[in-house]
Amino acid sequence: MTDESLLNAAAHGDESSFCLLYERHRDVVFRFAYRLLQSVELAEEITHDCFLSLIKKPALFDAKKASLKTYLCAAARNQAYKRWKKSSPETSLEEISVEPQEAEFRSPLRRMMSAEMSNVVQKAIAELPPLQREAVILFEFEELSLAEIAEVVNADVGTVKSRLHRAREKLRILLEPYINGSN
Amino acid sequence: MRNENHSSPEKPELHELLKSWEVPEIPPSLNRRVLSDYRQHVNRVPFWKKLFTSSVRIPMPLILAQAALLLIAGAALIYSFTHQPTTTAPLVVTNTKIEKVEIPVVQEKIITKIVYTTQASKPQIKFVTLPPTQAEEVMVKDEAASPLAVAAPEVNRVMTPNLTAIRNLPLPELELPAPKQNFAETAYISDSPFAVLARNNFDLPATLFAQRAESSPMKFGKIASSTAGIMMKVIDNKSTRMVYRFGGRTKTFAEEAILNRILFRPRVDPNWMASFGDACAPH
Repeated sequence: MTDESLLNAAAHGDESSFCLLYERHRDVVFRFAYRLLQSVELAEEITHDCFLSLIKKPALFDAKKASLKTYLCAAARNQAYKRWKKSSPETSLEEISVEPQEAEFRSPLRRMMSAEMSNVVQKAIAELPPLQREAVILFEFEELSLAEIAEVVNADVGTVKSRLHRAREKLRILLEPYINGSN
Repeated sequence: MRNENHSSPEKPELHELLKSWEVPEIPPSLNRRVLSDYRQHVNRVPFWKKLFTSSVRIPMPLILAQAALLLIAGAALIYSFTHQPTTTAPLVVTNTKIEKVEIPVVQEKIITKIVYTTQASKPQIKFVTLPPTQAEEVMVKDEAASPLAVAAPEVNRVMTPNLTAIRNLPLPELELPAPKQNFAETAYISDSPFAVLARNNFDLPATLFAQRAESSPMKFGKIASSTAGIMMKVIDNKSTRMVYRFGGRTKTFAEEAILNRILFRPRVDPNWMASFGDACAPH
């Protein structure tokens, strides 16, 4: 069954369809939210809100424009940015996008040198500006195409590609010892 | 497209390194929350459905009282529809008096006025009703034209020399104007007992008089009848002025006769005068 038919049935009270739809896209939304906010509670809350809003307003989803996975990722992104702005209301996304100083980056990275690789990567990604971070997450972890990422982040493909390139460069710098070490 | 993006030789290494970031397991609470909220949302009954499906517990006495109230209201409504008050005007008793009003009926009265020309050579002939003792018998001129003369030529012929005609003999005490033609035809004034009787009997209603006169076997009755017939002849000719000479009551008789169209035909016995002898003797 397609996502659209499942959503339609779930909106009309078919619980099995909803469960199927939820299990199909639950992990993507949760992972994306978690990697954006790096908080299980927030990711859980965002995942919950995304599916509830989908059921409450199923007409907002247009299967002709994008897939349900893209739609849910966009919804999770919006939810994440809402919470982001709540936590730091005076900081805009553009300001956040300003690349941090090398010195400031180095010190936490060094503090996590002994931590697990997962934590290293997590911290490295956390150091990325949000726009670059979401691009990396969607591209590297969720394996969305550039067009899908552009759909999620509401930007054109060139912008996404640029953000992705800069994010990689930054991650390469940040994770260079681990990359060399792995080699 | 994805392969193009990963064309850098460093990128596979970076990609492998990034993949080492593990995401924690989805908490079970999330599944419960989402499923619970979904059920709550799906099973949420709309307001209009709640309005028709919800129930309220009401105590039985309150229900009974409300039912009784509804019954009373319904009965009152039905009663008001079936017994609508009729708007009757207040009864006004008026004492009406029934009065009989006689409305005079104007009957057509045809009066023909006859205009006579006065001849210088002939003085006016005036008549007056004389008392029986001084009655004189007058005979008009043109006896031949008189219906009486026509009816009884012999009588006139016999009586002509004996009668005293007052033609051209105006009496100083008689100044009443008299129509010439009609007078000449019909006027008879006599102090004979029959004539007096006839004149006196003019007071009677015309019909009674006529019936009585005509049904009477007596001679004087016929005379009276003929006199009345002559009179009515005059009346029938619309010459009422002549009748006035015979008294005020005769006028009423004449008018009634005109209105009733009573026509008396003179029944003149040719020998009637002769049979009475002196009674009709001229003075």
